[in-house]
Amino acid sequence: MDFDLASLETFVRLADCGCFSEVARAQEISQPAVTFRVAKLESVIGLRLFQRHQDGLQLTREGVTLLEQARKILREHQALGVRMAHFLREARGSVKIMVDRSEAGDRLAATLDKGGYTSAGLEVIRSGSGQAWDDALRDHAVDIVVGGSFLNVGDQASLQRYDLERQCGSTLAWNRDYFDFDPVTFQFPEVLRSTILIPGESLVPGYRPFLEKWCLESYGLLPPDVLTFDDEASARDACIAGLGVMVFPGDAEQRMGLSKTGLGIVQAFEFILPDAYSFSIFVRAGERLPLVLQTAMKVRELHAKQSCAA
Amino acid sequence: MHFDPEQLRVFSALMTEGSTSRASLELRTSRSNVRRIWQNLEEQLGEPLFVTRDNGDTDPTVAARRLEREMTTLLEEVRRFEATVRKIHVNGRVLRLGADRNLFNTGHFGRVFNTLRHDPRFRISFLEVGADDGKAALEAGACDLLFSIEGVPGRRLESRELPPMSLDVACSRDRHDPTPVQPEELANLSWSLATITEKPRALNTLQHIRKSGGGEGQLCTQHHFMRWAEDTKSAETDAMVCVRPVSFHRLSQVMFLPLGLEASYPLNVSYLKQHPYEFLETMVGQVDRALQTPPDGLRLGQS
Repeated sequence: MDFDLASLETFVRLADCGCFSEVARAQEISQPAVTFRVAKLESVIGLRLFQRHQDGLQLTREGVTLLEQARKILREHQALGVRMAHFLREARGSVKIMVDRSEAGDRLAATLDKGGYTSAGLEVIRSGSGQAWDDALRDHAVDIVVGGSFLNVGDQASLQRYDLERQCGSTLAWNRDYFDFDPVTFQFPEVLRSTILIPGESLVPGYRPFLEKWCLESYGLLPPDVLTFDDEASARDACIAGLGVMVFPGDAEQRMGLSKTGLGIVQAFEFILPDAYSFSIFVRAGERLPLVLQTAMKVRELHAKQSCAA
Repeated sequence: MHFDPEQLRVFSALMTEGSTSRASLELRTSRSNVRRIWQNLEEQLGEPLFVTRDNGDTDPTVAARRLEREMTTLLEEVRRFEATVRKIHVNGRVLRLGADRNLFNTGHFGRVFNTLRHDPRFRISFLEVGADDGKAALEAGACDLLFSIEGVPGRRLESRELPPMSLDVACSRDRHDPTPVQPEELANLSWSLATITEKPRALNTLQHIRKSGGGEGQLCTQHHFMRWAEDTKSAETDAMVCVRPVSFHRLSQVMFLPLGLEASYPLNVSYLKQHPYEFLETMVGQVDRALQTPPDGLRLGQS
């Protein structure tokens, strides 16, 4: 390797966005340094990669050929880091676990973080930072994912799933001071006249696309605004503050402790959406490492204990 | 976990060479540097990679073997990348020659092309570049070599003067004497200078011919010259002083005779100082030599 990966990355980024200043910001180098890196790469391989125009950059034919291979190199380089990290965890007997930002997840993470509950060296990260949960699991970035999912989004061939909790329907909650919905004569389309608060892709994967499609197909209209939340606590706070109507899958009343907050609450769609929400443990299919499986079992026990207490 | 490419390089050198001293020779660096990078990598992994024996040899640990195995796909991709680059080098990189339209149509340029086109290192394409766009075209990478009469000034550009292009006299086929046209002979004719340069240089040339006894002439554009050549009989002008265009063989009523006078237009070639093609400089030298030696003493373009 007589060219370095940093220049290669600059090349790929520059080819993607065509803007020197954007690449400079992304790589945290100065703009002339971007020019310099590309020029260096060009002179090392003895080819021109870009042709500069008044209105931006254009890849040369060689540049197009090499771009895809450069991408592969970078992807491999990233994968190498992840695989080695996984190997080291395996060698040291530690497990990395990703917990979502639901209330139950918060309780789990707090206990796990304190340590002592499991024998393994445990590393806890919360979802919603960068990588999608299923990709992270498949790429060996984490060993266990604990989180919610909507319907059968979690059913993937490469993943193994154990449901801790299953809940049906959707829960709607609103601040009584701002919205005067009557829980008895409540009609769902009323909700679509105000902002709705829903879980984001890292909290309940698959919910938002479903809801939008559902609204369009059944009622022919979308809510004026949709706020997504990556943790249940802030969604609840927003609902209490009256930002909009909360629409969460499953029995959110019980899960998020809404009954104490004085919000107007209605459960809907129990019959259309059985198993709407499940809180589950995911591991890779065919996971053989006893440590990972043991940890998953411990997490299950812990969750059962905590949900009883709550 | 992010591995620095340098760490990986040192690591694979240690794996193959089996000692820091041999690895440092291989990487052309110091032993302490190899050791430092190796230790950095171990710190990052939190796991020893090599065990040093008494004789200084390094034995890889389990972690090192695993890293080596995981690295193979990356190295494969890198090798594939390098192979593609090499393939492009073997098949010939694209060399874009830029020049003004009038320059393309000279024997000089034909000679340049013919010296270059057998070189397996590149394939040649042409780009027409307007007189004022030379610098922009070079800096943008639209062309690699730019041929021009005036040269292209620029801080980032290297310019080199090639042998100049001599001037010829175009006249109608009435004249059967193939000797060079002397300036005195021109004085008896009404003639024009077809210019493909900028004005000051054209005027200087005109002045030069006049001073050598060529009488009064006029300036005309290349376009005029072409129009004149279509219909020499009815034109008021008897002869044209010009750089002989190559594609003129078709117009049989016009013949070109050398001008018996030291007068010529210069030819410059310019290229980027920091160009990815490492061979540009030697190639320009080659072009220069090829233009300098007229084959068996003939004038350029008379073959």
